Amino acid sequence: MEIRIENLTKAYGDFKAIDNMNLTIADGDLVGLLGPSGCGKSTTLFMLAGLNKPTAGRIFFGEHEVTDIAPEDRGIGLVFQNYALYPHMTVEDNIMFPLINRKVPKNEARDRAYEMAKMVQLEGLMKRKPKALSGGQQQRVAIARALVKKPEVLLLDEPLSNLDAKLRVETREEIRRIQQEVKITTIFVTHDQEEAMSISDKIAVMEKGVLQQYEVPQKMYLNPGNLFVATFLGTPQINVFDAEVHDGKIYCAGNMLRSGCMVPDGSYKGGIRPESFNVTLLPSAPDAIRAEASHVRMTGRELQIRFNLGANEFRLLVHSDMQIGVGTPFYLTTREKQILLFGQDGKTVGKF
Amino acid sequence: MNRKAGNVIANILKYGVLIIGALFTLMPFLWMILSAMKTNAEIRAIPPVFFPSKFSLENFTTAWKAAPFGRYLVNTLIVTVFNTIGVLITTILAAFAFARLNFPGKKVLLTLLLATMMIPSEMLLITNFITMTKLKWIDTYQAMIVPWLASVFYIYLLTQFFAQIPDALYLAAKVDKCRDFKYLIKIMIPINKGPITTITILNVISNWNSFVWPLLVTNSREMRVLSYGLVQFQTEEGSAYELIMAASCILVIPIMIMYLFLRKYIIEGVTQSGIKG
Ligand SMILES: Nc1ncnc2c1ncn2[C@@H]1O[C@H](COP(=O)(O)OP(=O)(O)OP(=O)(O)O)[C@@H](O)[C@H]1O
Ligand SMILES: [Mg+2]
Repeated sequence: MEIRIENLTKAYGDFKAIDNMNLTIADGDLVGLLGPSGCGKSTTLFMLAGLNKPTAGRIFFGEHEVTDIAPEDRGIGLVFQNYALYPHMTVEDNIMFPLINRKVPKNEARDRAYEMAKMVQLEGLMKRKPKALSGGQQQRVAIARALVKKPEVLLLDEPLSNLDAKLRVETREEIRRIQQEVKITTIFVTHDQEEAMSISDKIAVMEKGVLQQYEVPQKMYLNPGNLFVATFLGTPQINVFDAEVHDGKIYCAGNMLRSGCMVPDGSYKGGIRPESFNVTLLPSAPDAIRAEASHVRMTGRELQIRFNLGANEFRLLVHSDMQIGVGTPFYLTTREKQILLFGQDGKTVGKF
Repeated sequence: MNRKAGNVIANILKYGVLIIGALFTLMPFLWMILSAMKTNAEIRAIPPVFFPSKFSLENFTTAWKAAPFGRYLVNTLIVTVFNTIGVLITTILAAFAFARLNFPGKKVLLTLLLATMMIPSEMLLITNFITMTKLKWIDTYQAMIVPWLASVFYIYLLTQFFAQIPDALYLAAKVDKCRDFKYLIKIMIPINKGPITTITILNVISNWNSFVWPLLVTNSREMRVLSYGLVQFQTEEGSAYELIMAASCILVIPIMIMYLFLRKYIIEGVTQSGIKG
């Protein structure tokens, strides 16, 4: 089911939790709704679910406008951050609950619940109460309960935030697998950019109630639409520095980083990702910049090095076999098409 | 070695205090039961004797025959059952409204209700009595049942429990096609059965023990309740304490039985302060 959001706004008094959002989600896609805490992700999701009334704007599921339709009639499955399982019911009763309420005969409801449980690998736990399950298992019960009524849209509000790191990775793959198996249009809210990038077909990044960019993960990572998106995606964060452009050359604190750029002269914000440097211990090119490591951190796979150009601090990542310690001088160039320039309004000007 | 000795002393102290506490609580009960078996002379003896000379149940039969206790019991049961059902309905519905629903004036209403708890109950007795007289309800069951159909205390208590249930549960139920009333019946009540049982028991006990109000609004023997049964052994010639004690035993036994059956829920209701989702 295609989802179309048109000029969606949600205001609480003067405060706009969602400001004029437009978004179209293709049938069968898994979209990661990403943004910092308080940016309006849950609000958006709850409006899609019908639990929250939009102040303005319209929502379409396929051809049908659902803006004024009650939650239970929208054909959605919803999974909450804390799962919201009914604590007094067994797993089986929890999964059957949406069907029983829809007057599905008990036997059929039970069959469908077991079918669902098989898919999310919950067989053998059906007679337990939620309290007697692990976080990951509770999470799967919640997904089974959301999917059992065969909804056309699956909405997940930070479904992994209560799990430990290892289980998060496993469960997100699991969610992806289930989503592909059912081929259901899914919106997955998270504030973890890695999580969003790794399982989404497309990512929608929000900040302060405004949709910033909607794009395929790789494209968004490489071509962020603005400074916010650039800084929000990627760990360690993209390096942001004060850039000057003269005669098509990009400078940072007097060091020329790139020449031949078709940009008007002036001051910009520059951005370059930590993995986008070429580092050598001896000068590799005439215009290589000399720098000294001020901090070195070994993470196993790579070294994280900090250095300064003027007042700008940079982080870079190199393979951990490089022999660089604190104070070691090194030479660096930047990889082609990896320097981003942002205008004073934060919008991306170009990639050089 | 030293530490062990310290532990033993701590334990002795701990259990000593608990035993003394238990004795203090149990003593009146024990005294009541023992006294119910004494003769009139024994009960009046100075210094008092602790054990009766012979354990006879004669006082119980005398007391039972002295008044229509069967009738009193039926009346008490009728009042208790109907009042408790009514109280549960009003309490659960009001608590749900205060904890879950949004309506204008909710805060003001709750504050007003809580303020009524400041009114001394003796004052209510008078106004309620006047109301009953005007309604011509004197000497009826409804006079004993209706004025106490809503309790602000229970409403407030249950509202607190209901408010602890996470919003997400309500929203999830909504998506699952479970509207307010069904949600209340299928989710809220089962989850809160501990506190609701506690309220039920408290209300049953207070009905069972209530004395002044039923005495005020009933005149005829047929309408009297159990607690009234105790008074009739207090006559102008003096009190037959051994019979009062025997009657008290009769009065207390059903409550004790109920407690034994529902012990699990009572303890749950008292200890259940945080509900995990
Ligand atoms: N009922 C409300 N009244 C007023 N403001 C609200 C209300 N509900 C949410 N907000 C505000 O709307 C904004 C968006 O809230 P929302 O819950 O959608 O954030 P979120 O992106 O889901 O954050 P998180 O990642 O912390 O869950 C927040 O600033 C919040 O304070
Ligand atoms: Mg949220």
